[in-house]
Amino acid sequence: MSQRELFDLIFLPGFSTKDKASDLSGRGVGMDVVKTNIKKLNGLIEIKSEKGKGSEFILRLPLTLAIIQSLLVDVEGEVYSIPLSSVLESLKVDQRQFHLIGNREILKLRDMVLPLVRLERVFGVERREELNDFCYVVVVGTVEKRIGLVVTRLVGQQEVAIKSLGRYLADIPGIAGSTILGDGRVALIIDPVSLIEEGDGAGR
Amino acid sequence: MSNALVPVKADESRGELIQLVSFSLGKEEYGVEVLRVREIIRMPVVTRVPNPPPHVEGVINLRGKVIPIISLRKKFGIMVSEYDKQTRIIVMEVDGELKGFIVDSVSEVIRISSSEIQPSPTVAASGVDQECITGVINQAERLLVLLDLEKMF
Repeated sequence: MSQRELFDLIFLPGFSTKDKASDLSGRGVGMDVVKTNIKKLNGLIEIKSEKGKGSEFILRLPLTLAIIQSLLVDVEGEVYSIPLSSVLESLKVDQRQFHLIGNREILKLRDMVLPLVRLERVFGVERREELNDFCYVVVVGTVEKRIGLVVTRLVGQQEVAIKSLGRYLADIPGIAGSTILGDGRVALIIDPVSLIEEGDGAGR
Repeated sequence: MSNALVPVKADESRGELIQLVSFSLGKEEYGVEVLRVREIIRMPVVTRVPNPPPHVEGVINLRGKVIPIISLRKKFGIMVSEYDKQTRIIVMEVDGELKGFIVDSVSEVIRISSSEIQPSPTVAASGVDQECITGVINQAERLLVLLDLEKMF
């Protein structure tokens, strides 16, 4: 048995180097839990150890798994996260520049006619602030299909870790997942693609 | 909590012994099996979810895990009240996922023997879906409605 295989023994469930288990430890559970959880994240754990000197535990976890760059926006006091990969630009606009075509709001942006989606309306956010002339429009989409998401203000750019909402909340329209902000609050991640498709049909 | 520590007398131990977490919703008292309950927490900041399934209040951050929060008052058709100091969330694994259930207050863990459980009467308390009531426990001073939240989903 090579040294590496020997070290790997401590990951086996029920394997303990202690003769007696205490209240807290010694049952051979801990390292098995560590290994299983790292495996779940597609990571690696490696042990280096030298007798009398000490041990080194090297954990390798993939970064790309669930971390994305995102633009945090404020919609009437609620914070949402828009994946930066689909954001083309953002601008501050006077709402009086909005035009109505049928019952749908649009914005003339350079040589483009940009359909607008008011996030507070799609997501049913209660209006908390005074009606403000100025708002921000975040242009999302691809070259051929773009929409403008109307938000109250921009919060900033941030790397966020995607957390699944679970099966029970999997089918919320316009929402791709969630993330936890620095202050511990949960912010929902917007799925721009589904908003573009939705924006096509319904005149929101 | 004192009840939980009292040793069971021999004559009560007919049938299997089960432990229940009792909580209140409106006027009624309910119980769920203690083994189902993962933890009980105070009301944290809830992030609203747009267009949620019925009775879902939103999601919370439970030590890095995002879990949905369901209002049992709404579920059971009881008038929704403001949250106060007594409001608790009972976190349970239901349908393979962690979910939090908002209740008015959590009172204690009680032990009963399964022989004390009576089948629920046909007219259930405050409009609760019949299928998630597993029975009622009729003790001297109290009436406890036994719930199986697994059946709710």
